[in-house]
Amino acid sequence: MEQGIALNLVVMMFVMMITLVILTITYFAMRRIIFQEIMRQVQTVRKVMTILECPICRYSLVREFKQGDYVGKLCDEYCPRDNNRLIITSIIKE
Amino acid sequence: MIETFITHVKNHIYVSVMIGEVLTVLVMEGVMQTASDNWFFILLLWILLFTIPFLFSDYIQLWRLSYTISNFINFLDRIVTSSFTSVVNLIEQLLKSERTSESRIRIESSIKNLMELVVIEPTTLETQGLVKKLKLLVNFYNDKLERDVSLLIPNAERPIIQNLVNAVESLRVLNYIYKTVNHYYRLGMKYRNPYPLVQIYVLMPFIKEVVNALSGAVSTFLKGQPIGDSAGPLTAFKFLKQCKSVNEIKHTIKDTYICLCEFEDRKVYVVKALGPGGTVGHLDDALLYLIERSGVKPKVIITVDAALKLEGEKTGIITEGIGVAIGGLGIEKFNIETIATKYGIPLYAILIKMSIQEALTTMPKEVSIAVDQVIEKLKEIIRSVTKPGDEVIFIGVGNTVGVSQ
Repeated sequence: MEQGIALNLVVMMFVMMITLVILTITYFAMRRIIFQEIMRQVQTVRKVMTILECPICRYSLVREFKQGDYVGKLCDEYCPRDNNRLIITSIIKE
Repeated sequence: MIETFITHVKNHIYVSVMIGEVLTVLVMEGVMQTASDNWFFILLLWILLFTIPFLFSDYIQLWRLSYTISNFINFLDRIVTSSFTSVVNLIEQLLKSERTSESRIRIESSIKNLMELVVIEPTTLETQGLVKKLKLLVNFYNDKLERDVSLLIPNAERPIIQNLVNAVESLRVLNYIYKTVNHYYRLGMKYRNPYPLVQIYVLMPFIKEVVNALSGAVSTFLKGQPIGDSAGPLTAFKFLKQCKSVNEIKHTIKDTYICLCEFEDRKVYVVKALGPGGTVGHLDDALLYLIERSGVKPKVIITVDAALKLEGEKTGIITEGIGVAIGGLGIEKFNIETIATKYGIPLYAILIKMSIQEALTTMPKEVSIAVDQVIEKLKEIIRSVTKPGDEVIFIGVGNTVGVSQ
């Protein structure tokens, strides 16, 4: 009788262990999938840059986008070569 | 994301423990060589274990699908809410900078009304004049949106109002997608029918792509940055910089810019939407004005537009074509094709390929590089198809947000 009870316990523990192993594997697999998704989203954030050009000598300057920038805008930045005002020619995502 | 993860884990724990308990009982009784007074119970358990999946497969499928789709609907709800909050925050910021105040509740209710706006399509019982009816509705719709947004921020500049209108339109489409998916989900759950849910499940990756593009579009319009679809107007802008003697043509067409420039002894009429606010202009009306009111006799009409790429194609690939490169409902395309057919004018198209996300969010570097290549292709077409003294009409199709002239 006592042997029977001990055997019952062993079998029960064995099955519970298998369940626990399946649970652990699934937990780590799901964690990996979710973190991969987060990393993918973080990596796709790209900076937006504004390219300014001098209309005369084609000198170009690249800086980060500022609210109010648009293509064709005459900016407050000046060309270091001939002192003309720079025009925005492109706004792109790097 | 963390809540979804915890819900996943909880559900998995319940199911695993249930399976574990059932297996434990079965194995225990099997090892004990089944006591004779329990044999019926064990047999029943085995029969149930094998027949339940077959008898209740629909319910199991329903449970599985509803779990996935309800998570998706929560995701859509979060996207709509965050885009809505960005729009309301910008309006509040603009009002603060103008030192006028408006209650947040009133701003939210106005934007919510615009999000729920419905445009009822004209009847197709008789299709004669359908394009004119659609054009009238579209013009009314655009005017109403602009009027309602400008009532919220009366002192703002027109480009800012136009950008806000574009953002609100994107928000409206997002809201519609969310409500449609929710509608089919609730229908499936109401009648315990998994097939409406299967349809959503199958389309989920495509819907997610469109939703990501639209939510990106809302933030891009609010910042006033050029989008991928601005490739056409940007081509027109850069082409004008390379032309001699650019002269703007005065006209009464709303939100459209027309100018005449000289390129290698040819007269090139360049048409684009009037920027830098977000608008697509009235390109068909501009063409009609040039040909029928100004007496222009073009040798060729060239359109440049962004096009959706196929999977496997790279962004920025340039494709030549015949016909009118223009999207939308087809109203402007119909009108341009009608005019070209009436006067026998060849139609050339140049397309810049990109994905839907790239078309609706900030213009990527590859598209900007492609625009420079398109200008060279445009020059080649003009040189090959026309001779000195001829007239050409070049239309830069697309939303001109962030691109002036």
